[in-house]
Amino acid sequence: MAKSRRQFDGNVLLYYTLMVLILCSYGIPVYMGITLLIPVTSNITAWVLNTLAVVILASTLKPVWNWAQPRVHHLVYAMDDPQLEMIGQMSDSLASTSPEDSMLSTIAETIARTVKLPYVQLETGSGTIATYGVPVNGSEITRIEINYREESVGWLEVTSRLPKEPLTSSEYGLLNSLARQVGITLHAARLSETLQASREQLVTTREEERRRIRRDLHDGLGPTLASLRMQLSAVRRMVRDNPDQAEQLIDELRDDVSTATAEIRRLVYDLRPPMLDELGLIAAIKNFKLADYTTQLEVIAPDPMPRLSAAVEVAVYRIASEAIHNVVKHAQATTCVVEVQVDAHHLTLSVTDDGKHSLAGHTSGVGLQSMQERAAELGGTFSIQTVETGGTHIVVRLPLES
Amino acid sequence: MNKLSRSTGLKIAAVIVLGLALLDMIVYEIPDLARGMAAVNASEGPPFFIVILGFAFDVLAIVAAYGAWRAERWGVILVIVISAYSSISGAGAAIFNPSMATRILGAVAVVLYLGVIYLCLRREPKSLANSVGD
Repeated sequence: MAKSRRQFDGNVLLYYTLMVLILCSYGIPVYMGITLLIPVTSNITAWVLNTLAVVILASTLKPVWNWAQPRVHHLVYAMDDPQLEMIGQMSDSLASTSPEDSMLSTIAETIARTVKLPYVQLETGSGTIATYGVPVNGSEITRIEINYREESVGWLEVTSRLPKEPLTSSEYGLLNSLARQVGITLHAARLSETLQASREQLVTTREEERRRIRRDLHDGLGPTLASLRMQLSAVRRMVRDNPDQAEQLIDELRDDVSTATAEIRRLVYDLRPPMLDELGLIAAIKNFKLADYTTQLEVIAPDPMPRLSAAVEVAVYRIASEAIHNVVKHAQATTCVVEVQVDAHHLTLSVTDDGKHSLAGHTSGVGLQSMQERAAELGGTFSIQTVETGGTHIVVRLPLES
Repeated sequence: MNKLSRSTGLKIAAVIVLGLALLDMIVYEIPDLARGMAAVNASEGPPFFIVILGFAFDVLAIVAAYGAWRAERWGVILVIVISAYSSISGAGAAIFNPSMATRILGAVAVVLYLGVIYLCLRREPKSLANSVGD
């Protein structure tokens, strides 16, 4: 086995050389000062002076070493890039920005102060503008695009310090480096805003759903059950004295109970299709009742189907049902193939028909928006294309929890 | 002193090193160089080649002061090396030189060079590090 040769590290040599020099620059003058400047007398012999010098040095060299060691280490090994220092300053400044302060204003001010520019302007894609300082008359304007990965998220506009004096190449390079950091910051801020908006929408949707359920129960089912109770009381009073009228009332009650049962079924279906629990996702899709019996439905799926979350199951079921409904209603297709593929991270649902009218060009009225929203709610994607025969090919890809 | 930024500290260190190097050149090396090799070697002072080495050392100190002024790492390291050597030689001059003025100058130089080393290794105070550079 070949021995690995340790490469010579010049920084190690420099580090220890500096440490030795610093200790010597302290130790030698102190020793010489004590032993040579203090006069030797009968009481203070040379041995005493030497001992005193050694004791003083022994007690003070360690603190001097402890003080110098990290500083020399930093001097020798720390990266000495002014760009890094300025990026660090900007990061510190942003971290100390309170939520009430405008982040763009803080970024503009930080860039102006770190690069020492008289004027900085920031624009984002939404048109928001933040400025700092005042431009110098006649000074050259430099405009730098702020990108996050390959997406433009804004513009950085600065002016030079003196009229007709452009920025130096190092300053331009520094501004580009800062713009990259700003791009990351703006993207993170936008994600945070989107997340907050999603949370608010989630809460709003949940409360709206609760309100709808409450309304359905309170205005629909509630009065129906109350009416049934009163009618039952009336039947109880009539059953001995007027059995014919009681029988008629009982028939009416049976119809009312059927209506209430249907109402409950509707409420339950809106919450979650019961066939998903009774048959499972694939069997529920296979059991779609097609209005047009000339269209053949074919379902291809893994067997056994892996366990999916309730949200994904409902989304796949509703998207498939909407797509199949569109095929039957609009496409004039003879065959509709629904395919479900599942891997470790995604579920892919595709619905393909051989109809003569493609739905790819439609933008509304056929539930496409509904399908897109259901996919987007779960962080998935939706695409629709026209196949060669004229039919439609819909692909929905949903992420799965690990 | 706590409010002193690191860049200002380095500038002060550079000025001190430059001043001491120029003083050394003006007071000692340049007059000896002007007298010539024969006269210097005939006198009781150090040999001529020592004078030349001293002059070169002072030129190096001036270059190091320039680097430290610009906060360049190489300049700071060179200033530390020069200051460490100069404090040791200054201690020798403060103790052994027959001239009282030279001994006082040597003692002062030791203190100043140790101060330069301190300024070169001093970290940026936290109160200044938290604010954006003006």
